[in-house]
Amino acid sequence: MLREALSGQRRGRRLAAASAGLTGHDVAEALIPVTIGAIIDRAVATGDSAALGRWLLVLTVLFGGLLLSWRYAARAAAHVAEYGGHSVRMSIAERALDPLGMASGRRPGELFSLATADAQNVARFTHTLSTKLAAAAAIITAAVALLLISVPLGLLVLIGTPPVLVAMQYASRPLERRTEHDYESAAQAGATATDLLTGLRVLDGIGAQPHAARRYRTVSRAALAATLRTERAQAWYTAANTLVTGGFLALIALVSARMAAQGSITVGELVAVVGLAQFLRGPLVDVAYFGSGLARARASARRVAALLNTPPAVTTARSTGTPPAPTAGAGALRIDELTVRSPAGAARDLTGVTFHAGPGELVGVVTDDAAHARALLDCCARRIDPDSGAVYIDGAALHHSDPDEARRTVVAPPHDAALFAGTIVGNITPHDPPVTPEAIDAALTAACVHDVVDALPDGLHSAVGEQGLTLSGGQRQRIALARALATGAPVLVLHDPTTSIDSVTEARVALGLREARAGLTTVLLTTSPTLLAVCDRVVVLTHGRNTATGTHTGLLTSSASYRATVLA
Amino acid sequence: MTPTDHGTAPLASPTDVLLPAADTAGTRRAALRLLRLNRGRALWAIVPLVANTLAGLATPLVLGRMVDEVVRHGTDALPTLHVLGAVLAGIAVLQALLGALSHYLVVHVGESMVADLREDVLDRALHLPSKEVERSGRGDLVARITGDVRVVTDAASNAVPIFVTAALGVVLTLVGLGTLDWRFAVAALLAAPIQLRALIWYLGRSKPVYRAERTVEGERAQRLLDALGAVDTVTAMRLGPRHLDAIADRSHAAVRYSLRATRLRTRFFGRLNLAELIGLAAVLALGFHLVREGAVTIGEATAAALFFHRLFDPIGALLSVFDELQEAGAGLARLVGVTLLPRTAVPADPPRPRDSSLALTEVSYSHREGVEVPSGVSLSVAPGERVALVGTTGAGKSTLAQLIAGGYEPMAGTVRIGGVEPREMGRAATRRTVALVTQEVHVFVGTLADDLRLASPGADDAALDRALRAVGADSWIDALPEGLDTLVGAGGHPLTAPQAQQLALARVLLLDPPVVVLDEATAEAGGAGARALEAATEAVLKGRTAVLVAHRLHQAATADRVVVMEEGRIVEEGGHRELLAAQGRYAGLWEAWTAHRPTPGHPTTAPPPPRTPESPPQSPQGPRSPRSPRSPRNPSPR
Repeated sequence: MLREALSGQRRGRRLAAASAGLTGHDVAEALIPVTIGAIIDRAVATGDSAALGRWLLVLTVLFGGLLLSWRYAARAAAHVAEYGGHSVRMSIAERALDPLGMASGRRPGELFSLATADAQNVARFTHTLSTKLAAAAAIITAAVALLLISVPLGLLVLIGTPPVLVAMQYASRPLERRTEHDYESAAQAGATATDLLTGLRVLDGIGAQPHAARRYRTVSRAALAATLRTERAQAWYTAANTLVTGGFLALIALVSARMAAQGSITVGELVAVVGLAQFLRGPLVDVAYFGSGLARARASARRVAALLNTPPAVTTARSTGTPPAPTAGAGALRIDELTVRSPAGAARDLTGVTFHAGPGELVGVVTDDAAHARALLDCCARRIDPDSGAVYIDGAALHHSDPDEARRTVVAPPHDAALFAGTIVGNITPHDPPVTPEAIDAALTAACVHDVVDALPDGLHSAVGEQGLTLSGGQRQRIALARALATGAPVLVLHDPTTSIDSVTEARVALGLREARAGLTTVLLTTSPTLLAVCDRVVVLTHGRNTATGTHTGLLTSSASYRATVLA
Repeated sequence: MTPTDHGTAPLASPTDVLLPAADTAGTRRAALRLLRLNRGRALWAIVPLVANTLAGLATPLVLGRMVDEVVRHGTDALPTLHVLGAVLAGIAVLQALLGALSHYLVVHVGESMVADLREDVLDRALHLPSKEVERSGRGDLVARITGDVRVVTDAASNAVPIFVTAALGVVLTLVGLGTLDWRFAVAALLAAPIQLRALIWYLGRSKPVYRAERTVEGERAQRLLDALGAVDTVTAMRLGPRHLDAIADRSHAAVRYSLRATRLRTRFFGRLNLAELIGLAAVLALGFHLVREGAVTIGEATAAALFFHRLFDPIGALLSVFDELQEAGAGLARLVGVTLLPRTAVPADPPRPRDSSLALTEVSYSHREGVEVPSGVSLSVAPGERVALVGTTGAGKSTLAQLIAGGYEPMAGTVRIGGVEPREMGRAATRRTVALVTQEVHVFVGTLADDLRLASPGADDAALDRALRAVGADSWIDALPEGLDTLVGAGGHPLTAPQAQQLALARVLLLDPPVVVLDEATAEAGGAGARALEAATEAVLKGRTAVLVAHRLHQAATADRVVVMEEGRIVEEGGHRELLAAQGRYAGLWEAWTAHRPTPGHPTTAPPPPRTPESPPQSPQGPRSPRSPRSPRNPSPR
């Protein structure tokens, strides 16, 4: 996961360049104390002004190199981090919207948090990575400079550094463990806020805002406590770091001062060594912090990877070739011995359901449990696959087809189909395949959307707001219905499409629907008598099994349980 | 800041209006208020912070001493050197302890402030008028409460400690340089004007870029939520590519702003490097001069150079966290902006409604300029009376329901509940009097019990159980794996729309208000589900004044009075039978409704036996006869 974010789309090369640039910068930084030492030694101690000028020039060149390499490196690293984050974000969105669906549902808030906070954590790891590489290079430069001044001192640094780093890594372990847990706790606060704001209208209806705010406060306090725990661990870690690096600095200073006192190195070299040792502290701590940076990025990467690896809800491999385009007149739907065990929200299984609907037919399906209708709808849309039996389209089992391709032929939107921010016409017009304005207009007429549109100042081009919330439920439902009709799909399966529509309009919609779907296959999962009355045939499922088939009027007279179900 | 590349979006911009952000002064005031709340902790954090910085300053002084000892005493300096080495080690121990302590204390203050703030923001967001939230989109709010909170939190635990430590370090180092020789401090200050100019240059240019970046991120959040909140619709309608394009567009825009900010930052740092070079060269040249004059020792010149060299890091840190602070400032402004939205006044001593009657006088409301729905509606409902609002979609029934329940404020006319306007009562008191259930269902994440307790936090399990049974939810509750403790809501056990609606009704029972407004609350169910919901509704409405927006005309038939709305106006009003006899608009609706329901049990002309209300309708005129057609569009009787 991390690798993909950092090296996809030739980002790897840029990242390498960024690391090289930062290394140049850090090496130049390491050479500054050496230059200071040289100036003390060659100019200040000797009073040689020509030497002072020469060495100040060296200092200037050093700064120039440092500045340019950093400028280049920082831009390259930001490029990698930002585009890497973008790429992670898009793969999360792509996975969430994948036609194959997800076996385990995810909360919108959780998905959102993955696509923003976690994507950023993963991508920002670039910064961590390139700065650490540069810090490592700086440590090596410093060690080489020390070796040149004095072999024992260089060895002291070279041999002393690994144990220091190991000690720091060891100190960072508890921190790593904490980080992941605490980030989850913080994400929980965000998810709770999102959930409460999503249900704002419901909260408002019962005046539950104060209670909701209290609930959030509890979660927020828990997140605070978790953060403070992490920070406590972080504080101890910082303390350990300071102690180890500070002790190391004291040791180097003491050893080199002794050597200077005994005359084996010059005073300027002592200054350089002390300056280097002081400088080393930065890169040492930097490298040591690699652990916690990695921990954070890893925790996020794990969460992202878990999402990307979520098994699909339906398991067909993507089709390889282009399937035959739906031909006119085709689209015979046959449901054969379809069984779904414990469908979500239902008390009983859906067992051996069998019926068919041919082109030009409008078939009603009445279930005594809304969850059964939903399971049937989901099977037709390939949101789930049946445990046994199948949905056949023109003789081919739906669960052997690619879901996205299948949805070209079978359109089965969820009952609570959402609208999206944008205009009414933007919501209705399908993009693939494109349809004629006449087809759109026919869909608008059938779903009685014109009534809605006429009342709006910008007509069809009125904005509907986030999730269509500026419109009433009935208006949204009609637009969603028009959207489904506009696809002109060979097979259309609708679940209670008129629940929020008044009875007069519903009657018009029923007739419009029939007309709009002339020659095509349509299944209505509904208990509305108005819709059932326009169906050619009505299939009745009781307790998840076929119990009767007939016309609406026929069933009304012949079946008491049918009457009870639809005439509520 | 409006991003320039708006037009390329395949979907229209989610919203035109975002919620406001606070101005600089407002943000500062809010930050100071939060700081004051945590004053005690903040003061305690300062002490170890200063001590730690002082300890850090001792290091170059000790190193300078070492140089001097070596220069002056050669091999004789060894015992002193050992002592100085031990002092350096002691400083390391001190710094470790003080550093950890100060870091924790500073972060504690910052994080506590952020927690206070985010709770404040959510609290305010929850109490915003629904109109306001829907206009600017919930995505914007969510982006603020997640993204901006995160930026501010990061600043609190990272940038603020760095800033405070570095600022102290810079000041004390300058003092340290001055103690060596005042001229060193002056030389070091040569860098200051360049740094200052660079900072001003940078802040002026980066601020708008950061603002724009945050705005684009808000838009990106809205697009993400739009798609991720309705995955099934997106996949069923094969809209995935379109939504991904829309998300990618905003995500790309955010990337571009972020990279623009990086370019500014690198130029800024270039200028800082120049300042460092000038300052360091000045200190070294001055040291050279002063040593030659004998004014300072080589050790002191060394210490001065090391002091200045040590300044690089804190100054870099100081100036580089400036933009993190600035970014956090922008986030903070957006958070504070939410808290500064005018709060609807909560009356200190709200007048109590004298009964559960409703009186609407010439009430009008307008969602859009020029379209008034409802328009001049007058209606009175007696305590205990049940009124059904019927009419075609878009007639203004839902808006009227919101107006009655105090969700919207009428733009003209008055709404009175028991003689009191909702505005006078304040929201909390209004909700104790009138509850509103809309067709929008939301099951909150958490256990079933948590969800119900939103209505009544004090309710015990038995009360919850009673409420669920009263609305007929026991049939499926008993089948739940963990009963009341079953996790529901997004990601939890899925509930069907009728089940979610039963839950909504159960919440009303727990809330127990004298007046209930149901807006198509039973619309979601068909068949058996609808019957169960109608029974549940009956349980909820029993003994209460009720206004129900009904598409299922059975509910209208059992109401005491039916009010028919058309294009924002009341066109008919009266009892079910009366209106049928009048052969007007309602008769038409009823005919359409019963056309496919012809059974002996449900005669098309006679409604089910009227309900006997707990307290009989007391409207002075009694059920009014249908008004003569007020609207010319009123269809002629069939």
